[in-house]
Amino acid sequence: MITKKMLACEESRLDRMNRFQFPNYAKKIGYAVALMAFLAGIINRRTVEVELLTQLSRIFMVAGLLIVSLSKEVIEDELIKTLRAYSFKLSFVISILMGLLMPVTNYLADLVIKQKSEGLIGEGEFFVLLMLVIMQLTYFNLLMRYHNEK
Amino acid sequence: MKNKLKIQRAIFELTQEELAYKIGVSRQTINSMEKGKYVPSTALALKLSNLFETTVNEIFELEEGD
Repeated sequence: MITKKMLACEESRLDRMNRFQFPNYAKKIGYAVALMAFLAGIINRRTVEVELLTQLSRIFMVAGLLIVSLSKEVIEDELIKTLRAYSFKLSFVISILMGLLMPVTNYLADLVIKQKSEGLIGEGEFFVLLMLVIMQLTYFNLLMRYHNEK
Repeated sequence: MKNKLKIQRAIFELTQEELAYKIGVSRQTINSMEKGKYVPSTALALKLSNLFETTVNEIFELEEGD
């Protein structure tokens, strides 16, 4: 009984998280944030070169694009939802593949030019990739469990 | 999956835009369905069948391999 209640609660929370989207106007805000962060990053690099500003511009650029990606279209119908799901799936797979392949090419290039290499995969990249896979598998298994429930 | 959406739309003299508005989707969705690029959900198929006053089977037809 308690397990069932917990499952139902978890399901509704996941459902809310899954359905969450910013309104359509947030897309413009997201683009503006990303563009401003990009320009700030360029200006910073060509003038003062403050490390904190570089980091902040990167954070705001990614955050801005995330807002765009989570914003509704003008008419958010089932086709758009399907396409969004496909795009998330594709981007997930391609990100993992790029994350795995890029360090390998860097490693090979470092071997050729005999520089000290970071190894086949950097620590930061490793945790991002690991997180992506673990999160996807966890959510997929949770959702499968809800749909298999009798 | 084959469909007779375009024919039904012609019978009812509706544009893609008008049909889209009536069932609450975008014109692109109607276009994709007519071209067979997108298979609608059961809910959307039922909305279409209600609008065209026919059965879902009259509009949508399974193809070999579906």
